[in-house]
Amino acid sequence: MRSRQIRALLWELWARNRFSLAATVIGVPLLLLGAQQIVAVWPAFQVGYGLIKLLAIWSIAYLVMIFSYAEFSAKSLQTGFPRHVMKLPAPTWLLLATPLTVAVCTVYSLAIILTSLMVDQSMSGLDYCLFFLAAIVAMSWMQAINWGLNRTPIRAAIVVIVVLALTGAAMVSTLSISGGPIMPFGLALITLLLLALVGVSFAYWTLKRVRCGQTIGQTIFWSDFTVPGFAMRRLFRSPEKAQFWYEWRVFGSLLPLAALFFGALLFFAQFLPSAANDSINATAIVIGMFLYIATLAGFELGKSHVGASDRSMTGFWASRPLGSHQLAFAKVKVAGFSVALAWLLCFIPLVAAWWLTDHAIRLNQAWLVLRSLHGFEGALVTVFLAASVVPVLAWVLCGNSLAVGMIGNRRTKRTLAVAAVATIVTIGFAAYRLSLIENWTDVLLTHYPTVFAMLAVIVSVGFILLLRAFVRIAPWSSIRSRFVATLICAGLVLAATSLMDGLTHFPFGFLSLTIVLSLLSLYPWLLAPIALHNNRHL
Amino acid sequence: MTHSLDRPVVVVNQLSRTFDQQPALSSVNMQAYPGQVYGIVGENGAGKTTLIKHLLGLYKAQSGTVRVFDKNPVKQPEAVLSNIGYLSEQPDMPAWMKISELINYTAAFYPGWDSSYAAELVAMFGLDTSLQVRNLSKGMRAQLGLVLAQAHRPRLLLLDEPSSGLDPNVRRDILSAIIRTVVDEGRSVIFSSHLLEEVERVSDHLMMLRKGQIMLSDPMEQVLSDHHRLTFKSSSPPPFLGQLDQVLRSEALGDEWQVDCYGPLEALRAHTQSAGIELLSHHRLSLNEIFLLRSRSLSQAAPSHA
Amino acid sequence: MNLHLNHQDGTPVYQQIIQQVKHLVASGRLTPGQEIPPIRKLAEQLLINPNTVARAYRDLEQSGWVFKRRGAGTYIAERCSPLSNSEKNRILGERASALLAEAHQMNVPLAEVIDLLHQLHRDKHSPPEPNEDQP
Repeated sequence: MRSRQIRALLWELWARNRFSLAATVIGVPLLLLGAQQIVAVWPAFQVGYGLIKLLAIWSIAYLVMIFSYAEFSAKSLQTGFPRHVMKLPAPTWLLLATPLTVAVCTVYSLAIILTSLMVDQSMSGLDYCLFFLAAIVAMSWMQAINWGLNRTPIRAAIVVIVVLALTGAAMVSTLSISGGPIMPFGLALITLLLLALVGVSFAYWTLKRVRCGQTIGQTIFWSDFTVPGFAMRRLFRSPEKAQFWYEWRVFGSLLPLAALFFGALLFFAQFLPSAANDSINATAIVIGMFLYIATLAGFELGKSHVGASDRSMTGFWASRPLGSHQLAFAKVKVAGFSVALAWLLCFIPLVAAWWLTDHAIRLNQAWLVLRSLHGFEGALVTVFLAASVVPVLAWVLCGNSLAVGMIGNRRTKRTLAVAAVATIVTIGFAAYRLSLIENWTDVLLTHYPTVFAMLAVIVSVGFILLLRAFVRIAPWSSIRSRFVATLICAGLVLAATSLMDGLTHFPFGFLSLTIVLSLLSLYPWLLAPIALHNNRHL
Repeated sequence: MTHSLDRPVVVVNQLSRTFDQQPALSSVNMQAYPGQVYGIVGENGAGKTTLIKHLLGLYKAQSGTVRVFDKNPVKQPEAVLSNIGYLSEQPDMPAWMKISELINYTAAFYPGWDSSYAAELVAMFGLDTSLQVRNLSKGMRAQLGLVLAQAHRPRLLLLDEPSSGLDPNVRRDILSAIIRTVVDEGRSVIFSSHLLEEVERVSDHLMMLRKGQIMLSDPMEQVLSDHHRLTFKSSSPPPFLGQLDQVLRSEALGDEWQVDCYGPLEALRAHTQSAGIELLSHHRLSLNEIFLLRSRSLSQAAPSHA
Repeated sequence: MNLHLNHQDGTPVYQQIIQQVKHLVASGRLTPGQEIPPIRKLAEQLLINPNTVARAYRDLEQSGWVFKRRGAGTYIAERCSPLSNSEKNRILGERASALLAEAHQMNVPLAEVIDLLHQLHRDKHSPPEPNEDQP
């Protein structure tokens, strides 16, 4: 009787996510192995290998998300335990234990396989034990959050940060592959054990309560916040402000929360006591992640509901008495604020970690070197550039993917996706062909002004076409002030780059790059209204 | 109260629409005037929602034109939507908002928002404004939707199957919202419904859609008074059947012949007398009967006023 | 004014209003000179289209049952107008012809029907006695 129930539940778990499961569990290790072989033959592929490593780390987090066994309801905008499963005549512990056991085993095996592939050092018995405990912690807490604690992002974020910080501290300080013990083994083990136990019982408790129609969120945390009357009158004093508030409440927490997560990762990565290069690599990886998440968040922002797979507009949204450009601007503005806030949330932990570790000394030395090379102003500009190019890039990625995400027409989106894949494949192939003749990085280095100049021309033509399309749906005056604001932000980058001594060496290339970035940062203002207009009036 | 001299609120001209080669609307015409209640009936998938979404500008006319307040809802969404109150069968209001927040938020978009009227409606429905939308029942959602659709006193109230699956109390609230809107001079209502009794009691004009085509679009009074069920003493079809404009059904019942048709009664009487056939009984059809008859008779008779 | 509409049977709503107003007048529950509710109010009360109410009122006015005072409302007219007599004749005539058709079907001669009517009239206006006679 039980075994049949378990078999049925297992089948559902598998059938629900068969493609993503197969791709993660089988595909990612194979990809990693393949990449290692390529690097052995062709060292220039190191960059690609780094990206695949990034993907491997990401795939573990993805697996945890798949197995959190949640169903998203577009109506209530919440995830929860699948309703039809709750109605089955099976005890609650079985409903919890089945997905939890399978998930822990799968996540654990994948983590072990990937670690053994990526890390040269061998793992000790204690490491295996730590990994297992961490898998239980990750799964049980993720499930508890998805089933009952996710009623507001703030609550979920608090839980995630606390659990992540404790797990991260325990793991980093005891794993033999990450260096040496900072924390006594016993303390770390007890921390993890406690976290796992609390997580499992919490998941059980949540499920038990959800099954009889109660949510755990209200019992533990404070009740929901309502905007007080006087603030409401200020918030809603114009349609644009009201719409911005709406978008911010729905989507505003997406990117900052993800950034907080990566900020925390970045923070812990700085404590890994290994070669000095590693922390720089970790920073680079996290910045890559940040850009990637910004792109994903952009697609998410383009929807009318968080998490819904349906990208068509809801009647509530589409029937607001606002022009398409006003509706779109609210989203673009939210994207801008999100990127800025997220960047701060990523940047502050990084600086804090540097301050706490001996990087501060190393950074001081780097600063002195930079100053001696470029002078005080030049050095300042370099630091400024390094800090500002990333958010500008994140804004370009987020804003433009937002606009693409808003396109309701499947055919257009498919065409865009095919075009993007075709471009990447062509560039890759060209790079590969060039590398047969000579070192392709050299080709790019010597010819990049030409490449950027071509890019600048393409982007400018696109800009003019978009501007013409925009003026057909909304007046030019509606966008002027926004253009100016964005240009001032992008102009800071322009000033930085032109002051750089790069200008003296590669003036044309840097200028082209600046033009490309500035124009691309203006794109979302034009692209989003056009996409929304077409999606709104199908 | 039909002001035929006034400019129509809604003009739809030869509107056609296909979804993946499937016709959803074909050559639909419609004119709604100020002060009119325009009822749209039809089976599921007949094109009612598609038509209403065209009026909102959520669909762009593939062929034909749509004008609301003499404006194109696709070109000027702001001007059109700010004068419309819209309520659909499943009002997709943001689940996370509280009622008070939702009302204040919506108020920001409509210059003519009447806060005291909104408060009056909320009190009338007995809604607790501190509740979140996700915790509301279906009936309460519909009532909240009515508050949002009415409080700016729109020139046009668009209701897309508002009463489906609701209890009699809320259905009553919806009907009284319709009546209250048209009682105010010059405001109009367009609504679609499956509940024919409701359509019959509040509509001035009836449009019946089937598979995207207009089966019937006439004043309600005419629809009710000119659908006849006649029983003749005759074992063969009456000879004048071919001369009648719209015969919806005719069949033999023993030695009697029953005919359902649409047209003025005087013309029918004249035909019967000249043919010398005895008319055994005559009675009018209810809207329910008309609907069933019209839905079935598509293959037998040509659609009217197409 | 208390009206009960039946939306199930095929009788048009405006006719139901007309009949019920006439019935209320005939039974004395609406007296001449009494004001009846304005169109808007009645439409909101009965939840029907105001045009339907307007049409009923128009018909009632044309047949002399009610009259309008400019800018003041609609009032029940004086009762024994010739029009209202002809209306009575019409209503009774319909009933009588149905009764005669029924009698014809059952092979009951006209004289017996008239006797029956007389007897019923006597029963109604004399002290009641248990009589389950059904025509």
